[in-house]
Order: sequence, then structure tokens, then C-alpha cells
Amino acid sequence: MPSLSKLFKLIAFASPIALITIACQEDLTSVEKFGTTSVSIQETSTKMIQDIYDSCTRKEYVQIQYDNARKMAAPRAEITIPSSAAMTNPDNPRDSLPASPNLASLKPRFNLRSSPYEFPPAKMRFKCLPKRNQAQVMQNMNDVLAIYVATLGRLASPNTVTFDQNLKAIGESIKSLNKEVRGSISSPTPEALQTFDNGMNNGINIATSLLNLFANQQRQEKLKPIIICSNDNVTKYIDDLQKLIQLFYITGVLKEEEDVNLQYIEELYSSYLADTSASKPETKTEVYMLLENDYRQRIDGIEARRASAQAYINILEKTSLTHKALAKTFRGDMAPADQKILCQNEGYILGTSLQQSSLDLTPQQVQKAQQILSDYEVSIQPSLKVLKKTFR
Amino acid sequence: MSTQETITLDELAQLRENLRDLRRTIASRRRQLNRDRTIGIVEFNQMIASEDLISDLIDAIDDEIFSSIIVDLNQGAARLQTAIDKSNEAIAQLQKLNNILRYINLIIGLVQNILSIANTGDVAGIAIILDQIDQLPKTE
Repeated sequence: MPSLSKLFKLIAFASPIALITIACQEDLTSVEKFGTTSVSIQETSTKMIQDIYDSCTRKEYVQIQYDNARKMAAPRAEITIPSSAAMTNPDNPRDSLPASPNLASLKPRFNLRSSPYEFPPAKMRFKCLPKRNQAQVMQNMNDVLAIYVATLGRLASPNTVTFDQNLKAIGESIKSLNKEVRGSISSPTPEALQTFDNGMNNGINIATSLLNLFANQQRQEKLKPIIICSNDNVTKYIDDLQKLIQLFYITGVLKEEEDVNLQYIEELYSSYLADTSASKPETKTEVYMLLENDYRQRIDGIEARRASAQAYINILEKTSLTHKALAKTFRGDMAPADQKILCQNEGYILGTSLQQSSLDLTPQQVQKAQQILSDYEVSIQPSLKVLKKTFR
Repeated sequence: MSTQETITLDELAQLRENLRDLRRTIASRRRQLNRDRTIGIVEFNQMIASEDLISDLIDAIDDEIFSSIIVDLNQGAARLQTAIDKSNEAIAQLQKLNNILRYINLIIGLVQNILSIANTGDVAGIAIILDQIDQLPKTE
């Protein structure tokens, strides 16, 4: 039985190779998950960035009301009607301002939260055009980071490129070809065909394992230098992005919206206090409470958006720390000089003093990376929840 | 010798906050004077104009903060793009290997069909062969 003996030899040879290759295929799927999480964060943060324009239109709307309230509070009686004809709708009671604030007129007018922002008039759209452009630029900058992380995820994922299907097809083709070849020469025995099939299956399994091992090594060889060498750039980039959200959105755009709302309410209250002509069935406290209530309603939305933006900053901070920790883990005990060579050669070490093995990830490094990414997933959940609550 | 002083982002943000305080103070004072009826229409309007002017200044500071950070982000984005390109390049290399396997499979199928025609003499199979040849990669 020479063919059976060959088969046993083949199996005996194949088994250790298969075991080695399985053992060597360090799982990088945690990096893949890092990528998918970041995509989800990016989708939510996009809505937050769009709010830069929305906040501007809301602010402009209140600014017009504030302008009108100031005009009405002016020392002279001959106050002109609001100039913002473009935004007023005579059919809408909310848009007609009373001569002075009183309890009855405040109620309907203060129910502003629902509709006016859905249709910002042309005047407000024009005034907020720069903010729309800035939001677009900010969106692009945010996307660059998201694409970087998502691409790392794609590179780390064994599902991005898989050889199994093509190798299986080759195996089937070779078996079929073998029958064709034998058919043209002589009739093979069923045992011979079975032996050939078994050998072929083993061969394909080995090829699959080797190719996946090769692909895995390729992924590691590229992933490691990319994470190590781009770490400083990534952390600086995230730092700048955080600054932009903090200084431009939170303490810039949102703060202005909040301030205009506050000024408007104070103007109304002051006008009420100054108004001695009208009869005042309501007490000062009642009016104050009413205005306070309205202010609270307006500010609640701003505070929720502020909290969400802060949550996004926290997520960015955790992302930066995670990238830093991954870079540190992958760097291992690599000497700074070697790291410099690696990064100067853009990850290609051929013709340098670096060893090929320095690009391989050890099982300990992969394990540590998985722990870092798993901690990241857990740590961002509370912030992600806050972010999603406001910007669904 | 002249030195060019630059203002930091934090200083800009602080200046913006100070301007807001000033705007609030002016508005508050205007209201108080108006309630006390110790302000004329001209002064009242001047105070409103100054509040609006401060708002414009705050807007300008917002724009300055935005532009300053965006300059840095633009530079950073170019560097990140390099890393993205490298990742995509590595993925494309693996994809190439996978394509080679696909072509091997096509060639085996082609050989099998040629043998089949040789064995059976079925010339109708030539159409299938031509179709398979068409699926093979073209020289670029």
C-alpha cells in the first residue's frame, strides 16, 4: 500500500505544522473592535458637530427677541415694531411680542423650544453661514481620526482578507482536474481516488494555515510600526481636537447661546420691574418664577449638549491614552535608536540594522494589547451613554 | 530690536470671558439706570451698541480660536493620512495575494476544460474556455 503510506507520512508532517501555525496566529481582533467602536463614536459625534450651526441659529433667534425686548425697554415710549419681518409670522402668537411682559403673555411666547429652530429664516441662515462652514471643517478633522482608527481595525481584522474560500475552491478544482486527467489515461480505483482526496484536503489545510499565518504576520508587521510611529502624531491630533471642542464649541458657541438666553430673560424681568403703568395682579415672585422656569427650559438643552460634548472629550482622552498604551506595549524593549530607524524607514526594515523578529508581536504583547483595548471598551461606556443620550 | 508678542489660546479664551463679563455688566447697569429713570435714550442706545460691539468682538475671537487650532489639525491630518495610506497599502497587498489564488483556480478550471475537450472531442466547450480566458487578469 504505497499510497496509504504516503498519506500517513503527509499527515504526520502536516499535524505539527498545523499546530504551530494555529499557535502562532496571535489574535488581533481586539484592535478590530477598537475600530468598530470608533466608527460608532464618530457617527454620534457627527451630530454633535452639526449642533454648532444649530446652536448659532437658536442663538440668533433669541438675539432677535432680545433686541426687541431692549427696544421696548428703551426710555422713550415710541418704540418701533421688531425689524425682523423675515422671521415673524403674524399667524403665530409666539412671534408677536407684547408691549410689556406680563404673566398672561409670557406663557405662550415662552414655548419656544419646539418649532422655531426647525425653519431658521434666511436672515439667520445667512448670519450662521460661517458657523456652518466651520462645522464642516471640524467634521472633516473628526473624520480623519475616525478613518485612521477604522483602518487600523480593518488591517487587524482577519476577516478583511481571508484565503479560506479561494483555497477551498482550488482544492475542489484540483480534485476535479485529477479525475479528468485519470479519466483520459486509465480508470482509477475508488481507494486511489480517496487517498488522493485525503492528501489534497490535508494539503489545502496546510496551505490555508500557512497563508493565514503569512497574512497575520503581514498584518502585525504593518500594524506595529504604524501604531508606534504615528503615536506622537495621533496624541497631538486628539489633543488639538479636544481643544477645538472645548474652546470653540463648549466655551464658545454654546456659552454664547446660554448668555443671550440669560440676557433676554433678565431684560424681560427688568422691564416687568420697571413697568409701573400697567396693573400688576401678579407678584414679583410669580413673574420671577415664571421667567426662571422658562430660562431653565432653555438652558436644560444647552447643558445636556455641553455634558455630551464633555463626554466626547473624555472619550477622545481615553482613545489617546489607549493608543499611547498600545504603542508602549508594541514598542516593548525596543531601543529608541531602533525605533528611530523603524520610523524613518516607514516600517520597512530591509537593509537596516533591525531584525525581522523586532516586527513580530509576542503572545504577551498581544495579550496585553487585548487587555488595554478591553479596558478601553469598558471605560468609555458611561461617556458614550451620555453622548448618545443627547445626540442620538 | 522688535519682539512680536503672540497671544496664546488660553489667553484668547480668557479675553473672551472678560468681554462677556463686561457685556453683562453694561447690560445690567443699563437696566438699573433705566429702572431708576436716570438714563436718556441716547445713552441707552449707546450702551446697547457697546453690548453689540462686544458680541462682535467675541465672535471674532471665536473665529481666531477656530483658525489657530485648525492650522495645527490640518498639519496633523496630513500625517495621519500617511499612516492611513500605509494601512490601506498593507490591506491591498494581502488582497493581491488572495487575487492570485483566484487566478490559480481559474487556470485549473481552464486546464480541466481543455482536457475535457481533448477527451470528448466536444468543441462546444471552446466557448466556455474562451469565457474563462476572459476572466483571467489582463496585463496592465
